[in-house]
Amino acid sequence: MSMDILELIEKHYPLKPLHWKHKNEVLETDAGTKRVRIWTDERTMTWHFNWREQLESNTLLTDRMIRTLDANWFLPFEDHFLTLHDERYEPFPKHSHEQTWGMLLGKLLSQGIEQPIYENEHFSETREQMVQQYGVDRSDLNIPILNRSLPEAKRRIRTVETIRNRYRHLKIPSLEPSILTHQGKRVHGRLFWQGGNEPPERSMYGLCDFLSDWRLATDTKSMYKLLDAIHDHFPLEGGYDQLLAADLIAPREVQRCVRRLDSTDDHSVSEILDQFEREWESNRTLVEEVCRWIEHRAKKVIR
Amino acid sequence: MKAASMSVDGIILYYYDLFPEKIESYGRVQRITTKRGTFALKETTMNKEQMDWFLHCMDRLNELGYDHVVPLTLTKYGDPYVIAKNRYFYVTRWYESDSRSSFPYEDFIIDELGKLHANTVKAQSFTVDVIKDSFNGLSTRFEQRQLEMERFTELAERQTYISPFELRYLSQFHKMMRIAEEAKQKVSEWYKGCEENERYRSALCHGRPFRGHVVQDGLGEGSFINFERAILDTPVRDLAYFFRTAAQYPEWSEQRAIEWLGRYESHLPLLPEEKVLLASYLKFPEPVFSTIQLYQGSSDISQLELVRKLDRKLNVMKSLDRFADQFLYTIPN
Repeated sequence: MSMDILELIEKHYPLKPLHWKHKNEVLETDAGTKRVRIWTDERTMTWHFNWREQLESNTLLTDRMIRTLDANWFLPFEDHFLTLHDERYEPFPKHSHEQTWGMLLGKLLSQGIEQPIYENEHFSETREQMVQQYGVDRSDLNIPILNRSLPEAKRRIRTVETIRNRYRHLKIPSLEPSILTHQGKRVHGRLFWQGGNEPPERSMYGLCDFLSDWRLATDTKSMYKLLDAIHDHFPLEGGYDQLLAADLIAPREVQRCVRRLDSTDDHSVSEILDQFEREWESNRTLVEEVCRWIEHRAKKVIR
Repeated sequence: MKAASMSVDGIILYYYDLFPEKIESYGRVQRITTKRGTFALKETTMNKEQMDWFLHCMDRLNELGYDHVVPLTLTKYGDPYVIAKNRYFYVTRWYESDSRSSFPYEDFIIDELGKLHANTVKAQSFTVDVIKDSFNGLSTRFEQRQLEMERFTELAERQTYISPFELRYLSQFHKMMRIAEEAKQKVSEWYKGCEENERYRSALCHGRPFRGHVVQDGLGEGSFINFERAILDTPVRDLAYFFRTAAQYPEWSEQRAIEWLGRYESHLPLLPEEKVLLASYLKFPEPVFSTIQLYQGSSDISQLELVRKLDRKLNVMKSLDRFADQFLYTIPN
């Protein structure tokens, strides 16, 4: 398979592949290091093409799809599709660059609202569906630490439901399910954003993950600056701040824990539970801090 | 032009995946040597509207199958240009351009202008107002320049000690004024001709067709570069620019100019009124006017050099005047 891809790239792209750096994923070429992405779903691929094209500006670069010799942005490949992207490694700094990162996230959110992919633009899950989705109904696992957490997790789901009902009129952005700080690289002094290839989700979970990641890498003050900067490009006040808080409150650490327990043997159960406790605590702090930022901004507005 | 080494904003090269081994500067053009070939990076002064028009012209030439133009190299994302520091940059393959080489530049340019204009010429729907605007614009320009030349004459004559440049200029002043009057008269004739025949043609003009905008590939085949000043206008616009610049090279003679015009007309015969308009452009002592501006604005150039320049321009003016008279003679009454 890998040989075929290299041949295909050499035939169709204006560059010469040299060798794989990571087989079937990253290759060295005479035009620099490139990443190959294989897409099974054309709709997902088009969604990823559109946001990359629209986000790119003089100050913000994205790993857009490199054009073939025929000026196409993808190649048909064994019933699937292949796209080629730049791959960069130098991380973009976080401290003192909150404005740039905030602009990126603000634009991702704005475009996430504009870009249609799902017919339903709003949250439609019922509480029962959420309970099932987050694994809060899994008392069958019989793990005391987890079981003790489930009533609290259920309360959190009720809060999520209440907030979502209150802001039912707001369109929910389509974002990649995972957005992390390591995806931001530095290219000629600019932020170069390397996206993924997962189907988008209509939720703000991606932003929650990013904030959690950011806070761990920096500090609370920096996270507040980042939230201010996001707000400059995508107004969070008026409901999106509450929806962000709701997505932070949703018991995803329970969901992750249940998934890990379902797919592991007994040896690592204690590790999984340790991790669950750490995530629970970390998320609790993050929720508190984000809520403090929301309250602070609300007071500013009232004044 | 002498090359100077320099650096280029890396973000521009990023869009083309160019890793330069050497960068040389030729004014607004950087020659970038890489393992993947040699490229020309052009910094333009075009605004968005001009850039859109330029790209439209390049697309149009492509549609017409006109292949004597160096195509733009697209960025890796398929874009025709890059914006950096509020300027538009574009890239082409690098081709050699040496205006002193033995390449028959004028033969190439006149042939290609003929083909380009013949492929794009279009009879415009005739409206008196449009022609009148052109006539008024050209007449006013000629008159303003004539007035400034007269002013310069008056100032020179008032000097106690006349400079060599002024002396040379004054000795030719009356001849220049006579030629300028003829040029103005030809503009009026052109206007009447258009009005009588109720016709006016435009073609896609390169804008600045001269040796500096022609390059050769490895096989010695010529191509135009720089369609940044391309415009839809009377084909005479390109022809006037061509003959005015060609007259400054040693290969010029009135006989060769007549041959070049014949070569052009083998592709696109000119209408009588177009020939009259061409004559008016060529007769008007525009090159002398620009030398006066240079004299008034520059303290760096020596008197000797300025007099030499003026002499060259006066010779060009007289030669273009004779050339115009020759082809005007061929217009049937």
